[in-house]
Amino acid sequence: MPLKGARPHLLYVAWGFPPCRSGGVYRALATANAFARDGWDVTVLTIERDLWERRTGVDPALEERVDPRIRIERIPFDWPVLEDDLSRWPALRALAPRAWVKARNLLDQRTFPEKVYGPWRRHLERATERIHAEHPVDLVVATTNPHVSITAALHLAQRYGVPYVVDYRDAWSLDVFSGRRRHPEGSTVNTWERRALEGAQEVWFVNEPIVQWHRTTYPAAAAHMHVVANGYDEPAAGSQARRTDTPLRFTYVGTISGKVPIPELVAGWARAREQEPLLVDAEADLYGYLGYYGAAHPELADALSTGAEVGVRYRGPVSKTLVSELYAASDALLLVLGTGRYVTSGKVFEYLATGLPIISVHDPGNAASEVLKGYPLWFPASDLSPDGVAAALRAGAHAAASHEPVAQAAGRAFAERYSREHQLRPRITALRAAVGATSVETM
Amino acid sequence: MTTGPGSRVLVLALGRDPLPTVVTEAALRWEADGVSISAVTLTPRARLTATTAQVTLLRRPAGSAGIDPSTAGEPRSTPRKALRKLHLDPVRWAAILLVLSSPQARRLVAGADVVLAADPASVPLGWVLARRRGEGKVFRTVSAASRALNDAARP
Repeated sequence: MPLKGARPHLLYVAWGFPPCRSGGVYRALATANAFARDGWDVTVLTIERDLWERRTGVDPALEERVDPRIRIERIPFDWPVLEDDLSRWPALRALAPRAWVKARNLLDQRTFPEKVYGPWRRHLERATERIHAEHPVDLVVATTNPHVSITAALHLAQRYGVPYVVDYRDAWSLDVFSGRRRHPEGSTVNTWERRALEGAQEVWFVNEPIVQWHRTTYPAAAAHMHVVANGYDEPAAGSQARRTDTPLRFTYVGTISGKVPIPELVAGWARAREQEPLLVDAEADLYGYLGYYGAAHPELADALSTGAEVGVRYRGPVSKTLVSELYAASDALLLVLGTGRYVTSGKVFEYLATGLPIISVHDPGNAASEVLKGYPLWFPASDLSPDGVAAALRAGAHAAASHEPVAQAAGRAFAERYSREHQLRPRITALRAAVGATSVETM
Repeated sequence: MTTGPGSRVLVLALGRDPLPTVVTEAALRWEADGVSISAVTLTPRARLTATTAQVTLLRRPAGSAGIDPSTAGEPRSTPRKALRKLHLDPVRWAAILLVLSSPQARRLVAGADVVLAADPASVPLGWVLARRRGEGKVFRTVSAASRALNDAARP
């Protein structure tokens, strides 16, 4: 517990933190900033910048958004599989690559059951020990994935009794796409997970279906589990007054991985263009990184190539700081998501904040449907067939063409419940009370 | 090592398949930047760019009709499958010997500032070269080879 009047010290553990540009980084950034604004001393424990700069690419504009009061501790993270200088390869890898992969997987999971990331535990525990010695930690928030982040929290909890929160976001044992259990009862993962969840002050998840699954699976921890939806950071700028003589412009923003049904979108778009005059000259612009590591899935590359012939164009990645300009120049937004009852996405909240028509191209059972239910300008595809997608696109096109300010205002009012502030505030207040500190919110 | 404009990149492509697009596209970019490119390939079918100095180890693709069975969609024979399971792909290891016994190929290897092992079959030879040349000279990915060229070109 912090001394009376002292600022509580939060240790926030996040493998991905700016300038990392992955989808999950926005939540990490928003959470750390929210605690700093609430008057906590925030130390972020994350990996060295080198990995982002050399391997996946960075978004420097995101780094500028980190609250300057936050202290960032960067520690090493080894990723041998990405080593591309052959002089650093062991003989086994060069001469018997499959044997090396098997050996590497075993080595990675020696201290923590997570391929690739397991060895980070050693660096995490050493760093938490040092940070706690320098400035005692009052609360740890460990965000996953990777799940090895929880070892930092468990280490301080076990040795010094520091309370912790696991921001699980999605799931470890649950495959959110298939709904199947990935790690059975009694497995090493299950043992770690049970220990982490049952000892936590709070556990956060991104949506209700995922919380429900975990409450059922780990009933002893059920009372500590909360939904902290990804939310949006700030309302998007108002869309420009639509000129009736220009073609409609549809926009998608998000990482375009192999799970995103772009081929279905392209097929539906082509069908809708044949049926709907409003869509004949319309354009669908897709913005985002191709895959998590910068490479397009072959099927996806084919779909993008076909799409370019019918007005669906891949426009490349866009900085988060420019996204609101894109929304402002759009007439409607395309929500194209992988299938899964447990799948939501950060962009659904950003989309909601625009008040624009949203055309859903995803499985109707997707968790995003729960978020969108009640939004006045929502046009979901009944299924992912060309006809199902085309019908949603046609309905969305009519709403976009009419551009009703009243409907847009109603949409924005609906979205307010999903601002990051609205999602994080109750949790931070509860945690402040739990660590015995008084609020000293600052801007 | 001299890299940047005027430097020499050697692409090793000892596999049976045509070169990946990412490699051919990178080669065009490097050429446009003034980098001199050479390649050692197994068969003439793998062509990097129109102006690449290329040494081909076999005169034509293997197989009875001049078509490599593995790239013509034919299943590998049981002995070959067994050898691959033991990491003893016959083509992979034979290609190394062919490179080392070809004076032309050896000259290209010796003159290269940066070497790219463009496919898995080229890794064992690339690794041997890397052991002899040290860090920052032999790479497995196009992006790493490009970084090495850019880093050295920077004042």
